[in-house]
Amino acid sequence: MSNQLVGEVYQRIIQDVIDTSVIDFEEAGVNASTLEELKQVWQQRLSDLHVAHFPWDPAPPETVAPTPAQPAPTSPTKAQPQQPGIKQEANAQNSAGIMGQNTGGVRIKPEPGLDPQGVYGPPVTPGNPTHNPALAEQRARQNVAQKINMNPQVRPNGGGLVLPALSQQRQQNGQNGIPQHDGADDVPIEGYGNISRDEADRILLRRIGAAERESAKATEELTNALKGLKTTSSSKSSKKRRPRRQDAYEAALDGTNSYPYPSTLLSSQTPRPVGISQLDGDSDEDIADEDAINSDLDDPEDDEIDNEDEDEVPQIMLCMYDKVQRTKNKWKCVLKDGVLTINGKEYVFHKANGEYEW
Amino acid sequence: NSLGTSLADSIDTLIQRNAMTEVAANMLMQHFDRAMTARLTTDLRSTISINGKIENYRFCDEIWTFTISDAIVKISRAGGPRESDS
Repeated sequence: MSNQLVGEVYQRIIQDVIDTSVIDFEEAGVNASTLEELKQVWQQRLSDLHVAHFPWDPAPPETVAPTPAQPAPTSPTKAQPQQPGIKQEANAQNSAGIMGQNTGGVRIKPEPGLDPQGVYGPPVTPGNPTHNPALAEQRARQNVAQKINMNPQVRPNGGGLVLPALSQQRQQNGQNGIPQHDGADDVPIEGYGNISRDEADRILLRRIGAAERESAKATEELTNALKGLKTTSSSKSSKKRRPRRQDAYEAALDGTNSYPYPSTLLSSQTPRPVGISQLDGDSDEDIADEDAINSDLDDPEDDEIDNEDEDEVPQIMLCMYDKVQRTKNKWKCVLKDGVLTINGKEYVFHKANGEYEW
Repeated sequence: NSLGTSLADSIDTLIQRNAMTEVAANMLMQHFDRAMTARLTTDLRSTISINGKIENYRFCDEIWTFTISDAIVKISRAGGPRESDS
C-alpha cells in the first residue's frame, strides 16, 4: 500500500532535509538543537494530521515493520499550544471583567472627588470603593452634609463642579463639548439661540442627564430581557429596585432630594454594586450570546462549503507530467512521481495514468 | 501537501519562539523542495490510474491544473480499486 509507504518515504525526506540543512544552519549561526527541535515538531504535526502511519508513531500498524521509532513529545508540545490559548482566554475574560468594574468605579469616583473642601484627600484606587458599601455610605453622608451647608451655592457652582465629571464620564462617548465653552459668556445652543453660560450649562446638563437615563433604561431593559430568558424571579426583584435608585449625580441635580437622599442612597447601596456587576456580567453574556449567534450563523455556511469527506484539506494530487494530450473531448495524461491526498490519506506513486472526459 | 505545510507550520512555531531566523527558514524550505523532488523521483514503485470527468483545465507557466469530479482512483499495489467523488 502506497499509504504505508508514505510513512517511510516521508521519514526519509525529513531526514534528507535535516541533513542538508545542518551545514547551512551552522553557517547561519543557528543552534543544531534548534534543528532537532524542528524535526520533533515537524513529526508531531505530521502525526496529528493522520494522513498516514509514520514510523515514529508509538502504535505499530499491522504490516509495516517500524523503523527505529523516535520519541515524539506529544504531551508537552500539545500542552504548550493549548496553555497559551487558555491563558489568552482567561486574560480576555479577566480584562473584560476588570474593565466593567473600572467603568463602574470611574462613574462613582468623580462625584466624591468633586468635594471642594477636599474631605476625601488622596484619590481612591479604582475599583475598590464601589465594592465597599461602608465607605460609600460615609462618602454619601459627607456629600449630603456639604450639600445642605452649601445648598444655595451648590447649583451654579455645582454645574461647574460637575463639569469635569461629565467630561470624564463622557470622554468615551465623545460628547465632550462642555469644557470648551468655558470663558465664553454667550453660548449658542440648538433651539435656544445665544443664552448665558449658566443657562446653557443647565440645559446641557439636563439633556445629558436625560440621555444618560435613556441609555441606562435601555441597558436595563436589555439586561432584564436577557435575564428573563434565563430566570424570572431575580429579574423582577431587580426591576423593582432599579427605578428607585438614583445616581449620585442626578441626586445632586435634583433639588427635591435632601434628607431622603441618604436613605435612598443607603438602601440602594448594596444592590448598586451588585447591579453594576450584573450588568457587566450581562454584557459579558451579551458578548457570549453574540458569539453564540455568530457561531450559529457560521455553521450552515461551513456546511454548505464543506461537502468533502476529509477534515480540511482538499483532495489534491501534486506530480510531474510526461504527456498531456486531448482528442476531441477525451483527455489522456501520463504522470509521474507524485503524491495524492484523498479522504485525509496520502499516497505516493511513481507513475500515474489519467483518462478524463470533458 | 501535508509534509510541506507541516514543515512551514513548524518553522513558524520556532520563529515565534525566536529560536530561528527567517533566513534559516527560507533556507530550510529550499532544502525541502530539493529533497522532496529528489525522493519522489527515486524510491517509489507504485502506479495509479485515475478516471473521471473534467470540470475545468488550465495550463499556465508550464503547470497543468485539472479539476476532476467523480474520479475513480486505482492504486496498483495491494490496495485494489478505490473510488472517490469530489
